[in-house]
Amino acid sequence: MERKVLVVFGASVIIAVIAVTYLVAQISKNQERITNSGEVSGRILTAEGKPLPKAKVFADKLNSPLGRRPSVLTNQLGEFRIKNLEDGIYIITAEKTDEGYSASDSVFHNPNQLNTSHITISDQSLVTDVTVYMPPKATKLIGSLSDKSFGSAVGDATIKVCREDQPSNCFVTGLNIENKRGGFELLLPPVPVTIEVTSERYKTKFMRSFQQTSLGSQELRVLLERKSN
Amino acid sequence: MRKYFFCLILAGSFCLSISLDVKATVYTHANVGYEPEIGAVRAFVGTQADYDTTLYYCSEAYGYVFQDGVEIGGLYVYDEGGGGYQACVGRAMTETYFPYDPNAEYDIESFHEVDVIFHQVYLEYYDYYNYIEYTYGEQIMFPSNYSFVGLGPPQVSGVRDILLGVITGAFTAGAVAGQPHHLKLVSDNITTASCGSVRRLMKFRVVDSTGRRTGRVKVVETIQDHRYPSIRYPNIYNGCQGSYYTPSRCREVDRDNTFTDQLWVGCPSAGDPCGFMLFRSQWWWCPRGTPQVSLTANVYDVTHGRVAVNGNTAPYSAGTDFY
Repeated sequence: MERKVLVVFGASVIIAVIAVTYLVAQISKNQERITNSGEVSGRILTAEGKPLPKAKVFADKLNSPLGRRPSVLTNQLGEFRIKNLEDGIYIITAEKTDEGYSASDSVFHNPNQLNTSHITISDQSLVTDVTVYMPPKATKLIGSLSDKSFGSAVGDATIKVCREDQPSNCFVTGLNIENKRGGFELLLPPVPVTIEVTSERYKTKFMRSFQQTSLGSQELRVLLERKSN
Repeated sequence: MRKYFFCLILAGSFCLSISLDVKATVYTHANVGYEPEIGAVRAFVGTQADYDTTLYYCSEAYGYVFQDGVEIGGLYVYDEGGGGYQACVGRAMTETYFPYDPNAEYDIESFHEVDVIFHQVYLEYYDYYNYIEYTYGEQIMFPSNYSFVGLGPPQVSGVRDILLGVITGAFTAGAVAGQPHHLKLVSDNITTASCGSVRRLMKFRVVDSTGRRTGRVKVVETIQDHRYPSIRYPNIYNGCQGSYYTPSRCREVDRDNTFTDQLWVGCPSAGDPCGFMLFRSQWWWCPRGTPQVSLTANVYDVTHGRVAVNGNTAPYSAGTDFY
């Protein structure tokens, strides 16, 4: 008799465990759908008020600066919509570096006037009509690094550009043109800068008081001298 | 003894009712590629349901084709049976052609639906296999075909069209892209924020094993112990902000097939030596229905005054492969 009671009890426990597991799975599945459903939409405009197509728009969660930045590209009308945002306060910024528009939150390019917009997502809310104005177009510096002795392109280097009015305000990048060895591009701020090029096998090169021209882009060819053995 | 068997049968039935919920299957297909015989780009979308599904649903497929990120056309097709109760044949396939530019890249993004049939008895839409509960337009990756299975129980549905999944595919550099394999660096920029903390932005592209960019897939990050990668952390403490960072869930890359990984303690910041502890960041591709696929794993050192990736504080060159 005791054995039968035990068997019935055991079977009931198994059924209960399976049922609870199933219910928990369903609840967590539903919760997954409920969170991450906030949304922000709006437009990206140039300083002149024209829509900016194919700009990259970011929604950075305040106090959560690590990890992937939620982002989308604007359409032909400069409109964007970023979906699946968790609850929180977000900073909306934009950039289109290939056309000379630096990131609207770039301290290096616009230290005194950051063009950002703060929004709050709560309870799966939809925030619409957010407008971000881009900073004025910057001059694009198109550079190439070559070996002074052989003329061959340098394969690896760091380019550090610092504002002369704020020497600790710098922008550092690597060789960033994928199909052009030794090539780099960056957007210059509207003030004189110092450019420092470092590479493991070469002597560091400094260029002071480098100033942008009124042209949309300017080229810079840098010859690096090999370190002596 | 009879009670013993009764309990076993009861338990077994319960388990079966949960695990054996495979009712029917829908296959979805989409691709874009160059057809040398006619010198054009061919785009194809299709949704094909099995017999059981066809009894209660009609198939539908539509998609958009992009050239260098700009939409150049669309495709749409409804069930060959035309619709109606038990009239659909469960097959919806179409193709279209576009002029070929050898210097351009082509993408396809397709959407696959089953349409719930109006039930004559209930006088409402009837989601017999409860597809709406099972799927919310999750993404799958060409060339994988995926079987959708119903969960049940049957229910009346508030909507007619149920989006089963989205397929993305790419034709770049003269060939159809393969499965996501690793990440390729697009840019690596470092600046100093207004509060003095170092901010590093690494833009990545998802590529196949040959380095060709893939379609628009979903990726996710996990955080692990830098010495014992099997130890996963749900979040990581930011000593500068006094807050925790929790990686977000699977999310699509942008239409230019890139995403940006931000390595920063943020502002305001108390200054050195605050920040995150050393950790291992792993990026994964999130295909539907199969386990996540690792794309790359790197050790991040993110503090107020220093951001290092695998020990390197200097930016990497564009085109660097991260495995």
